[in-house]
Amino acid sequence: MQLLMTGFKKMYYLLAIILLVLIWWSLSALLNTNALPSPLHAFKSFLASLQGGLLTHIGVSLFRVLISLLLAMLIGVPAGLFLGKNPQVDKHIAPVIYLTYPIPKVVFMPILLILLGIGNLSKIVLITLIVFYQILVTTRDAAKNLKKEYILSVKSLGARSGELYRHVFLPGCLPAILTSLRLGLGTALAVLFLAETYATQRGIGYFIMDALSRMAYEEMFAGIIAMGAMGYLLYLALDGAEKILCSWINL
Amino acid sequence: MSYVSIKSLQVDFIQKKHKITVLQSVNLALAQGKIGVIIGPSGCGKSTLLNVLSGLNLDYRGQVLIDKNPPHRTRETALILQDYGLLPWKTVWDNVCLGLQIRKVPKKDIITKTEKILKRLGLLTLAKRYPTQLSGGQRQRVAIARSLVLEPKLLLMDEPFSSLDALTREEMQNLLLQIWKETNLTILLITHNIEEAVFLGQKIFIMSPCPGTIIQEVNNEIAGDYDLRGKMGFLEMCNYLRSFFQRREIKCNY
Repeated sequence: MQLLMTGFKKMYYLLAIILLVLIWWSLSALLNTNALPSPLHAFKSFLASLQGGLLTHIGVSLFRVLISLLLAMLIGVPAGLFLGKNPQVDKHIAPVIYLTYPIPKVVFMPILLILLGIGNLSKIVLITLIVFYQILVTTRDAAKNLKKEYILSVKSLGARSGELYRHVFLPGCLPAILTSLRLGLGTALAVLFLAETYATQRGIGYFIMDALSRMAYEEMFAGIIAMGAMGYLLYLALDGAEKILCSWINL
Repeated sequence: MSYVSIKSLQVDFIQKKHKITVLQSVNLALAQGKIGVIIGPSGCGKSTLLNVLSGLNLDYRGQVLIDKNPPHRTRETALILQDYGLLPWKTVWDNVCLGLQIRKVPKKDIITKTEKILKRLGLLTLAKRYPTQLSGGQRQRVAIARSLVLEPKLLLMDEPFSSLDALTREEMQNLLLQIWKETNLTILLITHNIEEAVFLGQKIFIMSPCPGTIIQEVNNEIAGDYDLRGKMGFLEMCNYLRSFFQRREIKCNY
């Protein structure tokens, strides 16, 4: 039965890919402009670009996004768990979070470029800052809403603070943390593209904008495909992590 | 000397800046190896009383002693909550050995003790399952296993069988009786159910609310017999408790 379901799932994915390529192809034929090449030309260009330096750009972008997600998680998860576990502290910190959360952090890009330079650091800090908030708020709310009986029952077994984090708060909030990472991934890729269009000569964002400036549209689409594929693979990796780490959810 | 001794216990909560006295002048004594049952209407502070006894609530006035020690200083107490408190992200095995892990018991002993208790409660074949894959009765067995694996001397139970169907409830009551007979545990159990109180409780403490206090102590010598449910004495004791609750006018001011 499970095999059958997996088979159906794969078939739906295949159908979705066929549908998207068909829409792309129809639009390309309908508009008949160099700015929107056909999927076939774009994929040919993608394969050619992979041998001509695109892989390096993918590597740089992947490094930036992965480090940013990791940093955001390393700071956001413990902070969120701590605030969720300690409502008295959260009461004082919550106003700061609510005031700064809605500010679009991307406006800090110029100041980060000035302060941290045009290298990887400014881009990583910007993406980390944006994703950190999503992880912090989601983790805190998940920790806050954990059933009291879980905490009480483990406390009654003699657990202290550290053991409560290890056995109750972290595993109990893990599904929410992974969801926030998935949401954060989309945002991170969008910000990555923006950050790579300024003051850098490496990364998929640069590759796309450079191709645009040379009106090499097929190459530009090769970059878009690379960015899309990277996002999809990272999304799949998070999905896999959820299946392994939170196998108890979908029983 | 009683194993569990409570004298002049008072517990206050602050709610919306107002002080509410949840428990007042609570006195209770239970000898070692006995089953005590606390029965009373909702909101009379039964669970608060159990939280004090389990060491989870340290904010109280009065004297509370378990084997001559304050509750938070003893590691010989185990608590089973109404909804079992099993962690859905841990398997049956991991839930049961959690207390041993927390108490830093050597790994080898954890395996031996967990295996033994799971076998005894007929749970060994379910060891790799998660709580959501179990029936209500099986979950209750896991909660009991998790407590018993710690080899406690006092078992506190907060309405442990309230969410079970009638047949499973009786099966679990029998199981608890069997465990008690085998281990000579001291058990203090909270229930809403008069039949359960009479079947299990050698000493029945009747509580009234607002503020919660024990208004009557009933010695129930007939408890502890597997065949008690069909006997005349059982029905008479149930009727006695029922009419006791009906006679009393219970008012609450908050």
